[in-house]
Amino acid sequence: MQLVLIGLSHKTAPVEVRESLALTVDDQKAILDRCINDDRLNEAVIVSTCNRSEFYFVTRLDCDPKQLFSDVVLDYLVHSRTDIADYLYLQQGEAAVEHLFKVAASLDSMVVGEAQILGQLKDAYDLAFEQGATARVLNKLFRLSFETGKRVRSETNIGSSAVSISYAAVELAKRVFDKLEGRRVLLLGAGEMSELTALHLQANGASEVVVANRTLARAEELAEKFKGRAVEFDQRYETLRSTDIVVSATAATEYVITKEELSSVVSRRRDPLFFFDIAVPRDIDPHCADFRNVYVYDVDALDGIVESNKAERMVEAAKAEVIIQEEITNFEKWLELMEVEPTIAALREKAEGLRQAELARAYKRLGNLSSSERDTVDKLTRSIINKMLHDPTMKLREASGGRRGVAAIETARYLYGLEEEQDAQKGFRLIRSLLGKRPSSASE
Amino acid sequence: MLYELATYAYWIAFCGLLMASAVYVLEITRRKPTTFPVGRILLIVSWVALTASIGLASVYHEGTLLSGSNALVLLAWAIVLAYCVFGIFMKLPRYGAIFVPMATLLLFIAQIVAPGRGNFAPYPEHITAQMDSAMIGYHVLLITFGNAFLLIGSLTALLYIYQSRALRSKTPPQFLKSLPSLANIERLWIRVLSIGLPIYFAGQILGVTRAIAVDAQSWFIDVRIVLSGAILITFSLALFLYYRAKTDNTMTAYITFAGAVMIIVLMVLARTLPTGFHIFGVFN
Repeated sequence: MQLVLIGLSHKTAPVEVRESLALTVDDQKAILDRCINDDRLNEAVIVSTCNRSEFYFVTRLDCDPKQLFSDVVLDYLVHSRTDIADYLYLQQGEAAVEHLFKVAASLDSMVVGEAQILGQLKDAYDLAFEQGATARVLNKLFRLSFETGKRVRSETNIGSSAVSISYAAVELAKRVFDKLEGRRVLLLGAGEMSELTALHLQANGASEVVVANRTLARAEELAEKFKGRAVEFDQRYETLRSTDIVVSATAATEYVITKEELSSVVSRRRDPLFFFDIAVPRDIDPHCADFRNVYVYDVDALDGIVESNKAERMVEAAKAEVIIQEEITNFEKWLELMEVEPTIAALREKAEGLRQAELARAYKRLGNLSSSERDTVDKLTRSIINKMLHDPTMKLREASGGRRGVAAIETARYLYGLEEEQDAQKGFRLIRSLLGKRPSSASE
Repeated sequence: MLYELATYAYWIAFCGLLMASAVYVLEITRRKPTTFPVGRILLIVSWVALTASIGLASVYHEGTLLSGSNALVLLAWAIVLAYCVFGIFMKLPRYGAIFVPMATLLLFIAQIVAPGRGNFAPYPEHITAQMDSAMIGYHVLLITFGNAFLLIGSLTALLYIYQSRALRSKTPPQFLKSLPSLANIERLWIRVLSIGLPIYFAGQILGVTRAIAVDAQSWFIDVRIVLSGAILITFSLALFLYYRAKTDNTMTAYITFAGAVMIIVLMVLARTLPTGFHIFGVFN
């Protein structure tokens, strides 16, 4: 068996290529059906999101992955193969495991640390599982990848800081107001950016959205979206008295909120007033921040926060790598455990076969033995075999999952001559075939 | 034996608080609380040990001497208790990194200024007579708790000023993310002051009542009593500005902090100025 990953992502393919391999759920089901019916394939999972399309296969050892992909996936799709082929990456064995764990940990995402990918992976796995396209290897691998994703999110700060301007605004507002429940938002201007910021604020609990725009009709249209209300642009200062957060993104060439006009609003105010000025040129006079309870953030300040958060995520990504390596080790241990028991069973089976053959020959030579004599000889040989195999059995079980686990298993197979006869049928050599690993030296 | 036990319990409490401080500071730098509440457990164990130490020392000395060192130990004890009790009623994210080291520092200073065993000078006779009342015990307890609450409130006000300034910066420091939000700081600060001030006032009333009852000479012009009156006025002003005048919070925070400075000055004066009516704890 071999573990193969073929796919493309935002790192290797532009959007026009990615969209050609974006698969609907029905497409995925159809391809998974083709996988199930293909003799070369044992297991398959398809991960298809807007940023990546990846195909995880467990195939027969003699299978050509590229040919398989072409037959199972590309033949199903109507696109030209050459269009996509240049953008595809192929990873096998341990590299595929590491890639999947990185995807689950959101290290391979366009926005490192984003949370959606873990849910998308789970959906992909659930679909393959329901279709009957997964078995023990991909079941274990994907479940471990979810565990990896969860560990990375809980043990590092990879997803704790905002990396978009609108989220940075929400994060800052929370640092002032703690919770946004009950906070009132005033939108100055009805542009796309202020709408997006207001959307995030409302999703985090902001209770009322008021829109002030020079064109009242546009203000009303936007207010409708947030179930808020629209006011005349001239009423903005009056509205500020009952506002906690202001998002400003007008096309005005001069300040729409000045320090002089604001002074009457904040003079008898205790609660903080928060301005997010995402307009260029700026809408809010920066001197408004001279008032002690007024906080003003322009687009540069927000951008600075985003950049610093991105840098922080990269630091956290290094910590995530350590977790990923630990989980890869866990997967290897599991594979080793999967191999130990069949190895021991084969060893005992071989010993029993030899014993039976030798007994038969001995009985022939010894002539007529009584039933009790036969029993004694049988017990004697059985006891010798058991005692001979006791230590190798224990040592193999002890070694599995350790540094020399692979070497011990492979050495035992070699010494007892189990190599060739059992491999194909009983799924031996999982580690070597699936992860493409060489056994570590026995002298280690 | 009692003295030795009290000393052991004291050092257990000190080491526990030191470790709890390290855990809380580590949590704030990691920006993630530990899954197992190590800090809280250490804190509770330390508080129990400190209570035992104070109790054993009191039994050994047949009463608690109001020395500078003991006042600091009592203050640390009250701060830890106030923090734990407040933590039950409201969310106190990451404040442990401020209040627990503060209590630890107080215990450390208490050890530096502590007199050796048996070096406690007795109070003059007329003072002992004036203090021979349960009212004085309650007075000390209430003033200690009042001080603890007001100091916690003031430290929180200082945190408010820092957070408010940092949020204004064009590039807020990453450390800011570890701190509680401005609204949370404000809530704790005002609630603690609102509870601490009446406790402090009640302590003052008891002291004054006792002073009048024993006809202490010129008690009302005693420097420390005048200063404690100023403390009461300062914190009352802060609460008035917050609730009534609706002044901006930064101004109120500065006034609160000024009150804390006065408390510290009073604590130093009370232990170093051997004049007037209020002379406890000067003799060591």
